[in-house]
Amino acid sequence: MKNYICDECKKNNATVYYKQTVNGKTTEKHLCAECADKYGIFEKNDFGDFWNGAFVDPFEDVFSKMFFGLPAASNKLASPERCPTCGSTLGDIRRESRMGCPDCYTVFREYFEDGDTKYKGRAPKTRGSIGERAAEAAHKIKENVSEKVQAVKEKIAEAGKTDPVAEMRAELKKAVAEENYEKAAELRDKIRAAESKNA
Amino acid sequence: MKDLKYTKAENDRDVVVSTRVRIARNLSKTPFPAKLNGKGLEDVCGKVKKALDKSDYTFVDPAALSDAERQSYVEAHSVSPEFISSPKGRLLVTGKKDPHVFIMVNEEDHIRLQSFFDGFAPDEAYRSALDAEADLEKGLAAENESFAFDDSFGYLTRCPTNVGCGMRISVMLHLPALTDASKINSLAGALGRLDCNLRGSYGEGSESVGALYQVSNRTSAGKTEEEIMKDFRKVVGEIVEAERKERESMLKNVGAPLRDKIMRAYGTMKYAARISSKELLELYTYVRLGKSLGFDFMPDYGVIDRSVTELMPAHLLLSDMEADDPYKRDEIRADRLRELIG
Repeated sequence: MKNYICDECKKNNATVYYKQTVNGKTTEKHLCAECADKYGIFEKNDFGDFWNGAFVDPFEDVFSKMFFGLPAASNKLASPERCPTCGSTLGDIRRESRMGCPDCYTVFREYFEDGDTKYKGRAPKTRGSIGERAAEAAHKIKENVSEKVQAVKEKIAEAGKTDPVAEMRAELKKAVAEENYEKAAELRDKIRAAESKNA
Repeated sequence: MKDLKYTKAENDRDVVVSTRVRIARNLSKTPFPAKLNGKGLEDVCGKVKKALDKSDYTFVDPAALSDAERQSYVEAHSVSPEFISSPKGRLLVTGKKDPHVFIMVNEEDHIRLQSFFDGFAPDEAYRSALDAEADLEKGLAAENESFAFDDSFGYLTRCPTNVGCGMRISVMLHLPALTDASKINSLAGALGRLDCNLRGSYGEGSESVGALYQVSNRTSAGKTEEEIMKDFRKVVGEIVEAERKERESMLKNVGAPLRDKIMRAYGTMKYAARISSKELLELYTYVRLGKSLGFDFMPDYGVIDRSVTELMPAHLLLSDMEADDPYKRDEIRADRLRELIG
């Protein structure tokens, strides 16, 4: 039997096999227990037998539903990044069902935020009225987050970006299934253009 | 025996023993208590101490207290048993200008601000908690500290179910009739569906001593304070009505035996020479029920409720060294009770 070395740390023996297919794109990883844990994948978990290589999506999970009563934010592979303020990974947060520090909410925002539900109550006096806050919201968030936290956030966002061509292929499949051949033809041309550009 | 008539009390005190509003806040950019070492925890305590005026607040180091003193805070329901059992790196702050206020530092969140009131008094408790929050916020700002807050999530807390306004409101209820009718379990189920918890008087589990229960909202995430208050008032209102109805029904169906039990309980309180804390709670539940059913010579709710807390073991020990011995303590308790109810 082939002995895999962990794709992440390249040091330990890989004991966990992870396979994920999103928008037609498949990711496979061989991870050691430590690195798998950082990604939020635990060997013993509620979501079925991991060793079968069965698809396990860490984010379609009870954790998100429990706290916000909503389906998880996305189908992305958990990030192995650590919050710079407290050192927590998504794996830590998920395991404890608790955040490590206030900055965790910013670092891992996309995994916990629900686009529809936004806080509408009182705020610290330094933040101004609801109207003022709404107007400056995006700018203020960026300002109040330290550079370190912002850097980690950007790193996570980069890793999570999906392949536009793979997305278009999935849309093409859908269009064909819906017998929307005009749209399918448009997508086919776009895909060809993108691929010849990359070639 | 004269005809008894159910007597509702002000602030629903015939059913609601007390109200507590709790606000959870954290310092921004600081790991939550579970992720801090000894020095980190002390720093947080230091910042809170510096932020509050000594003339308005008293600071208590729970680690420096004796076992009896620590236990007395638990008996008074001022702190969670967990907080006081691991006192290191934690701080207790009590209000001087407003004695309703009680702040726990470094429990699950950096700051858990609480305000307690007798009867059902959510507005007063809320106002009191907000005033203390304002004092703290102002003091922290002077040290360049602020509450952890996010425009999208609201106030940030260790547990994501508490984000937003971070408010938990709870009431201590006396439900002898519903308990007797075995309706507590179904009540707990109904409350669960309304995002509320029901627990026995001293914490987890629905079993309770003295028919005392605690009901609180479960989460604050995604809700404003007004929404929580409104929903909670409705829930408490319905429980209170259910208990009152059940009490009237109890009186109608088991009138004579019930009256006898109530009068005997009162008699024991007045004349017994020894009362254990377990027995005290049994007597308490009948006497309190009796008061609401129209036995108006029974002690006031304030006296009855206070007696239960002040005659608990640690409280007695702190007021009389001889209460160290359990038998002597039961005698002291009986004497004190006689004095209290007059």
